[in-house]
Amino acid sequence: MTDYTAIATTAINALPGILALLKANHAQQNPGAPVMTDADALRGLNDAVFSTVAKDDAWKAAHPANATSADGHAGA
Amino acid sequence: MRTTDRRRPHRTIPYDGVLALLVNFGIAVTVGLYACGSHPPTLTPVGTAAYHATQVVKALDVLRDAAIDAEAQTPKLISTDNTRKIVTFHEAAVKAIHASPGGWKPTVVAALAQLQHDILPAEWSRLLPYVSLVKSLIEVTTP
Repeated sequence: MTDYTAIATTAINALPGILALLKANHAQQNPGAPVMTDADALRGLNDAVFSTVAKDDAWKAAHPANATSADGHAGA
Repeated sequence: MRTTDRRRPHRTIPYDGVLALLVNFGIAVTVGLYACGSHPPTLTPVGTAAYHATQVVKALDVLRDAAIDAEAQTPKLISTDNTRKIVTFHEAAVKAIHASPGGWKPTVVAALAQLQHDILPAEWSRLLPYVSLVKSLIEVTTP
């Protein structure tokens, strides 16, 4: 027999995360919230790109392609 | 006094747990994709494209981070060489999105297909949930 109590408990435990998502989405569309402009969106894209590319570069610097990796494979 | 055996039958698969996980995963993905698929109403098409592009960059970050974390395990769940391919793909895809926030989709989709071709199926399968997230987000956020 299906244990609906366990399912309900798990669903309730997930509610805070779901509500946080809904709240974030609502805040974006609520007229009372700070209005996002095109400049904000473009700045957000720039910031996201530069920070994540920096992480790519850092990982590649720590794992050079010409080194033999710990799993025994020569780098490309 | 009448007693009832309330012990549950033996199961090899925890159906209840799996069902609960599926229900919650479905709710979370639905809400998440809805939240990502919509955009602030104050944005022009240029701002909307940048907003959606940022969401896809974040999903690509999740894929890249999962690969890096898998490579860092002992034993490695993904080889260093394949992780390097994923990191290189990520950097190229993100730069393509940044260069053309409104027209990056064909480039990124083709690069993702090439990445799948270059990585062993066993290791690719470990990344499949994250790849599915990226593909879903691309479909939701681009016309």
